[in-house]
Amino acid sequence: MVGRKSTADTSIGPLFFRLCLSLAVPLMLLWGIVPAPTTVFLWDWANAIGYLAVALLFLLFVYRGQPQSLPAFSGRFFINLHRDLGVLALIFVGLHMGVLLASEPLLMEHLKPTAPWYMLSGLASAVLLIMIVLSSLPSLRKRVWSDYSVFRKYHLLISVSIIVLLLIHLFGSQYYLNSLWKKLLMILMGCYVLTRYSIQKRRSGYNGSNDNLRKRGNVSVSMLVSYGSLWVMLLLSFLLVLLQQILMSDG
Amino acid sequence: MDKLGWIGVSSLVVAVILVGLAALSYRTDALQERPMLSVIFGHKDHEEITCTKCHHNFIDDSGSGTCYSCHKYSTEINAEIERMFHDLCRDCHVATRQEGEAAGPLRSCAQCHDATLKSD
Repeated sequence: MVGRKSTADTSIGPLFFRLCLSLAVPLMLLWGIVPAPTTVFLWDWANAIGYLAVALLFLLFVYRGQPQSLPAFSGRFFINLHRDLGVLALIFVGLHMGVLLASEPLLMEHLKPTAPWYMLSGLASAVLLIMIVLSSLPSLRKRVWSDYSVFRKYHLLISVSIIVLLLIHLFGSQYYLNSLWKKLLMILMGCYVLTRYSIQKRRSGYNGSNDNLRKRGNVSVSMLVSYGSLWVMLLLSFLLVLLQQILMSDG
Repeated sequence: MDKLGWIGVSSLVVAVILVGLAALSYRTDALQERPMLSVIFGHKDHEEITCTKCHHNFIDDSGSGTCYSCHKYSTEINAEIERMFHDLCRDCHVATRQEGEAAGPLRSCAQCHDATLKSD
């Protein structure tokens, strides 16, 4: 028993690294390899933030509130992690829209009903994201859905709708998806996260055998991991876009 | 899913379809009637581009007068004016920049839609 206790690994380093890597991949693919021509700094950075939000939304299907093998925290930790990543996704979508509008006030035209379909699709996914975050707050959730399993079905339905609308937005605006392989990769990533929901139950590595050894993992630990990795990535995106502006500027 | 759940989902689907149809109808009318944003075009900056790339009616007899004669005032195509003009200008600018040459605005709205400037 003592030996088993020592194997209950609660170090958050690997999880932090995995989150950073997952968030960095789309940034490196889009800005690091055959990037689209630079526009103004704020426009590029706002879109880098938008892609971070996309990566976060994808990650929500991976860290979906179910216990995983590592770190060996209780289910509450993974629910908190899912909640924190969801709130961060909403903040990043807000940042994406806010910085773009500050950079180009005329973009308000693309928030009207006469906007192109792909922009309306992005707007609809943002509205659904607000809805899904608000409806997940315990006080509201318990009022609307007394049965938790019904809430989960609606939650999944809205989540899938957000991803589909998001992909329409990405492919319609397409500026940064400037080659076939980038488009294919984005489709593959979208399909992967959408199908992962059904396959994760078999492959999570969590079998519940060491439940009694799992630590509770307080709220601040999940916040440290999620907010920490996001701040690192926000800084990385800023530096990456700035570097590209310097390297690719006409001057 | 219980009976109440199915009623909820069905109501939601019907509501989404009805709102979608109403929005679609409103959108088509609004697209045809909305005023144009002011736009500038520097002919001097585009001297290397063949005229008929934009003035296609010179060779295909598809219309006469200004661009707006058809693209804004014909209800058959005016809902597509934004996409067509944006694709024409931006795609060419992006392709030119990807070839390593200087080009006009790629995404910056105000560099083309500036009411304080005039076309040459």
